[in-house]
Amino acid sequence: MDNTLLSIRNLHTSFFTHVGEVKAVQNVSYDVRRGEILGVVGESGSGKSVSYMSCMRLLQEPGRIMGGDVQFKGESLLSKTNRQMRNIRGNRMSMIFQNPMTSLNAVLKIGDQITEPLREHKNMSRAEAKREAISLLERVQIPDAEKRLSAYPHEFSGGMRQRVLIAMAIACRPDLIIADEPTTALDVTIQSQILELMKDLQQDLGTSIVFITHDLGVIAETCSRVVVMYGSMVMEEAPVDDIFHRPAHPYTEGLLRSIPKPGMEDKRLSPIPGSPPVQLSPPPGCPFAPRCNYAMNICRRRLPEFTKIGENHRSACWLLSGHAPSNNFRRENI
Amino acid sequence: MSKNNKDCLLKVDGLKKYFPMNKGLVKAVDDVSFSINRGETLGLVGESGCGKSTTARTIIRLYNPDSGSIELDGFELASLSQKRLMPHRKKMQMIFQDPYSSLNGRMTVRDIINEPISVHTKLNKNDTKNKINDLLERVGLNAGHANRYPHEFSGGQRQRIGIARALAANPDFIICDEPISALDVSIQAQVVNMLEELQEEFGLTYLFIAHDLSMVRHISNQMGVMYLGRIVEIGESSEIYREPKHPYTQALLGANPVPDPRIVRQKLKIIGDIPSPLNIPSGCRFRTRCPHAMDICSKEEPQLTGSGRQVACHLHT
Repeated sequence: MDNTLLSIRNLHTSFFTHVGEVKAVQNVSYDVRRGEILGVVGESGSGKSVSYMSCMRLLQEPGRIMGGDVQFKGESLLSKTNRQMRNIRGNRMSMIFQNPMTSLNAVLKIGDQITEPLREHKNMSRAEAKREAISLLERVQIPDAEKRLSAYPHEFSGGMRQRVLIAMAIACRPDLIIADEPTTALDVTIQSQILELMKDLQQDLGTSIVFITHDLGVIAETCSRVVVMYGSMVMEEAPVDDIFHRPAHPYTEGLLRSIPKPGMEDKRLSPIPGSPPVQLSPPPGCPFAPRCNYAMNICRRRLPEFTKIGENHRSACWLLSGHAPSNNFRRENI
Repeated sequence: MSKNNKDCLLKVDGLKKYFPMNKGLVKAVDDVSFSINRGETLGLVGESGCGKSTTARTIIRLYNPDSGSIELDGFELASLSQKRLMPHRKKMQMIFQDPYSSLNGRMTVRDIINEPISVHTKLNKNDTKNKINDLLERVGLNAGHANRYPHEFSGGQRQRIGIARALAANPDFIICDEPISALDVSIQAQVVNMLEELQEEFGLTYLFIAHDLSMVRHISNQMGVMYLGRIVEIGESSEIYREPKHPYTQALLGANPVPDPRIVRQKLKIIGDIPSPLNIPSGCRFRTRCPHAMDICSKEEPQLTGSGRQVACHLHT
């Protein structure tokens, strides 16, 4: 139990829009362990980002946490005051966003932005914070670190800006870094540099990283465990090798079939039919049932429970329940 | 490359497109040559700013080329006036990356698809209506969608509308400029499969631009790799994928994450960012990031050499 850093339990988050309640996160439960890189994969609207905005207490109107709990190092984050949260954010847990241009303040020098958490959380003097900022910039391999402190964000390239954001995120040696599509806006060669850097930092600092992404390639190359989300729920949770080689949910399997496999590029892809659900009027049963090749009657009526497949592997699918007729799905995979 | 093949539909030779800026000249496309056979697909890959989209937009004459020739189906297009170009326009169409900004939000789907039909064909009202319905069904929508507006559709559906619009003029050649980058993974495969089916059905020829190398490998017969306005390597996609020769191609393929945790590849690391296109390095453009850079690389610009597979690198001369 001691190994658990962040524990999300039965989290429900909704957005109250003019047309009605949009259930963005429904009954999401899983843990982030100490020192691991956890991948959270899902398509747009699957709730992967909103669940972390909820954990960080960064939700804005009309979003509201409707139920559940989030424990960080054994303490509930949802009962903390805003002041207490400010002491945790940027200090014990920090975030790296997708677009490095909009997440940096364009009118402040890089140096001021990196020293801010150090002065705020670590009570460093101006000179101490500056020294620390230089070493942070060096740590993320920004050349000419001292000079660059007085540069503005627009003077950096996209990859360099993302490095600055990483420097800010690790400034207070947090226990947890949440990286929300950190490389999606970058070119592949730069993406590969940033992923390398994040893996190195994770090794050095022992920080846990949650990697939110839709890119299965990025997941395969960086993460040790994976949570698959669809239609605001968790579908499957497993070690990375199981996800790619023994998927136990038809959605995970469908995702893998819709991308060209290494060595089998000439084969036709098998896309998942249909389109992602509209959360305004979710179907009553499994959110994936309308697109699922294996859907049974019960799938459209009742939500599946999790079935444990292995030590760290669970999947929410009726096919895995003892009552399901024998089917091709699992046999193909295992 | 069999340049005089009679099956060649598009032949681009020495294409250049420069943009004058206050600070100097941006050589966005600098001497690009390739050809695409009828019914085949050429994939163009490279990082942002390498000139792949500018190449596409120049071929389709959204930009006027500064020099070079664009030969489509035996007709030279590069020097034609807009008026003279008009009859050739219907032969080439484009599908854009962003299905949100590439459809006019104030037009119904019917009007959007009707536009190329009314400009390029002489169909009567009834035939036009049937044609629009056929097209909608062909791309997986239905006639009932014709009266709706783009905002009523998801990203994947909008891309289908864009494809129907591109097909409306019965083109021979379609430029797909990152057509799947903005879509969810499960929808990308739907669109790629549809493009492949349409290609078989109508004998279409594609120029497919993307940064997802595995998707380009999947869809294209030939593949061209661009860097700072030039093609550095071009040839059969499967060959390039199997054995990339140019160090930049090697780096690009190595950096492309493989969706299989069991495959651990040796990566050729390249350092730094793409240089500014205002300040292109002397000699080989890639030398500032190339791990194999030699003396000659800063002095002489390597030219594409070889038959079949062509590589512009001093290591391969």
